[in-house]
Amino acid sequence: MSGDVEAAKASSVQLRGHLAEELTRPSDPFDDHSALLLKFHGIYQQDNRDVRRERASKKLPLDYSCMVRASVPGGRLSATQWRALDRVAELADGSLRLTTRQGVQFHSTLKGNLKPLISTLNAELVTTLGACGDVVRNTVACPLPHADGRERILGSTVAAIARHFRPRTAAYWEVWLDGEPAVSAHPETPDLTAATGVTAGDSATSAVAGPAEEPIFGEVYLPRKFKIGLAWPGDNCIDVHGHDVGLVPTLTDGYRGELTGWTILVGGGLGMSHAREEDTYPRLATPVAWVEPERLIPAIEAVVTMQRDHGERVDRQRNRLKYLVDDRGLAWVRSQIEERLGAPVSDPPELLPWLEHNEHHGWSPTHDGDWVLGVPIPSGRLRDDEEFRPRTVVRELLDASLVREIRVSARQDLLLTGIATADRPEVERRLRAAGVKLEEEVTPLQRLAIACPALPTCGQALGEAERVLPQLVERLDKVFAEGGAEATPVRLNMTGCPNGCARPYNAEIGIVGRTKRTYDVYVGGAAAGDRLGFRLRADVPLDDIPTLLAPVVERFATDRSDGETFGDFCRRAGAESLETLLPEPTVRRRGRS
Amino acid sequence: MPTPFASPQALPELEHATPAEIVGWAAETFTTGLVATASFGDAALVHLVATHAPETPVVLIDTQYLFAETLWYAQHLSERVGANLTIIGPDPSVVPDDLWSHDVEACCAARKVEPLRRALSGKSAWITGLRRADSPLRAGTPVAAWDPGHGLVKVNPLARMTDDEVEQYHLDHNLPRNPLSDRGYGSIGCWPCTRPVALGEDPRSGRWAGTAKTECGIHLTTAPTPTVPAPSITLTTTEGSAHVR
Repeated sequence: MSGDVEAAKASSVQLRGHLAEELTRPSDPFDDHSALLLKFHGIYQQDNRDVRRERASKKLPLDYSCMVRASVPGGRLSATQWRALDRVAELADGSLRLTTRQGVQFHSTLKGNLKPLISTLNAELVTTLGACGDVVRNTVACPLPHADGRERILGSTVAAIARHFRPRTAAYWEVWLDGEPAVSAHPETPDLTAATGVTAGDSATSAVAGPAEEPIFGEVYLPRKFKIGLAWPGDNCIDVHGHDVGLVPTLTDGYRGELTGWTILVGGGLGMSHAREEDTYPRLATPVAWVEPERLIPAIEAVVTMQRDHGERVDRQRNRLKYLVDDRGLAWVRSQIEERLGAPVSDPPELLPWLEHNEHHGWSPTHDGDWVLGVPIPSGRLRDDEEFRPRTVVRELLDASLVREIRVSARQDLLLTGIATADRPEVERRLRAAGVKLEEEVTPLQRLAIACPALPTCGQALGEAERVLPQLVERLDKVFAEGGAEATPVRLNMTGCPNGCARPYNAEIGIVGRTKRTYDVYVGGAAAGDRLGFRLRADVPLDDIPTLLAPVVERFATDRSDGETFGDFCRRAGAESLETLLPEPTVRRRGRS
Repeated sequence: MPTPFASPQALPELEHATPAEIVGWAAETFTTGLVATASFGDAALVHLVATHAPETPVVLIDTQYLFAETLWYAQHLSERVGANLTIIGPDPSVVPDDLWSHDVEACCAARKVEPLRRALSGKSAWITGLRRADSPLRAGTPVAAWDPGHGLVKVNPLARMTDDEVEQYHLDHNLPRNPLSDRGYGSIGCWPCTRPVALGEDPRSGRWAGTAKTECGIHLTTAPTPTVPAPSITLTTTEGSAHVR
């Protein structure tokens, strides 16, 4: 498999392959080679898993469609960008899906709808290039426009990172935007020289499009996806330890003040493989160096090229940066950075403690005297129905100039910015009228629980996640209420497979799909995301998760120390002590407990 | 000079004919002068024409903004029912742009009204899927009438059909649906200007949603085009409803 991927990248002529020719046949699915390359363009070919078995048994072709992911650096979107995203949802399944990396996804897009979808987004400077694939992915950053105006620090840094690490290939324009050169008549042997002709236009990525060579990624790109996240000191809303490179600014007054430099963390990654539990694992990013602001981008590039040159390229289960960091050690990583920078870097300072973990739900003042409202969106899914009309109300709030801009949080929620003090009641009224529940109208668990899309669209999913989360949360809310710990803020992250898109391993409750019907249940992660949890039990049927957790919650209610979080309590109690409380397993798989 | 087609009341026997009879009448009356247009939002009109006027071209105007679902459905349905599908597009000088976002009238004019004019040129009658139930503006749709804007007879065999009857027609003939209708689209046009509608909402409210516009212009007789006086033809070819194929 990994050999296939590496070979496909190498022979793709910088991500062209024969995609253009493929698009002339809208009724056929993309072939395997194209499907691999599509990821770099922000597209996953998927099939409807709900009908896969039925179709296979009738010998029908699978029900193919595409997931398209827009890359949104720092989750920041202008009103016109949001309108374009909302508009093209009609070319997908009618919903927008906010992601855990502040992107926006579209599901069930037919092949024939891909070009209009992508070109419409590009006209508003939103790109899908590099949203998936073995490149530097969407850069994540705290989306809150703070009252002290410091968002300009993260804002400009995120923009610079996104610009610097975007793939330079012109393939994207050629394939999706009808850019020059035109489609090669011989897709097997594309004309390399022609590829240098990049159309300028106003597309999102044209500012950095140069000759068709990849000065950072090279011909075969990176061994695997590469994630960068930026957090404020004390505010880990983006889960900075979950990224390949985490960045935390140092400020003159500790938690506030002017920028003095950046602490660089490396080797975070929240995925593992069930079949490889002995040598694949989630890992939190660890501080490796500190650099001045002007050396930040070169220092990140040093880490990226280190992974490009030394990262595993054969074993795809083990080719994230975290394994390179562990195999070679932090000292080696630091020497690599220094060697590639040509100068020494400083020791990383100890990170300031994470303060009260904040999802930025509710009202906060912004630096221009306006307000931002953080609105919890269940599983980040914006789909209008009879009772819940999030798409319509957001559109109308923007059209009425009651809201200026949109931000997507790393917990799949919306931040509505630029709200005048006088307009606050009207904004709340309209949201409520559209069935959108505000922070105070849902339980803490409801607003803090997240899930990946999983079935029926994701090809990786082993079990359900988003579709069953509401019922699971409802039952867990009951467990907490009946256990005597009502309204405890608990971060619950659920994924349909062990790859961990929704970051289950450092959550207070992590639920990871193992089979179609059973899940591994983790507890003990830190509310601030800076400590991994442990597996409470493997292979638990979905229906049994509340009964499994009930005795733990009861013990938490009686034994918690003052202000102790559920995650901290579980860690303090420990796996062995909690194990004694648990009910007997109802399902036992051979060879596993 | 009054003609049989000057008003919907002019053809009382057609007013009570079934959609199948109306299509059959049009085929016999206009033969090769007949053309049909369909938006492929559903299958009723296409099935009727394929069954009762099989030679008649069924024209789909590809505005460059059709949903891939609609294009797929047009092919799939036409093969299934044996319709003479003809897809036409705007002038080659018209390319996808952002006109739809700021001048929707000009966009419809270039992508739909003009291609239709070409499709109808030289024809003597035009079958459409207009229904009185579509919208208040269409409540007075005649079954057949002279169309002075286009200079031909416009035949609307579905004019009297209700939403339920269209639904029943699909069931009776086991016709596939446009996949978009499962996603709540009541009326389907170009993707930039079509939205799903809520249950019970006017199906056409999803077209150009958020604006007062509900018609692209091809069915408006008040369009700023020269009107053509009706020729004095008399219809004696039909003896009402019993005599159709």
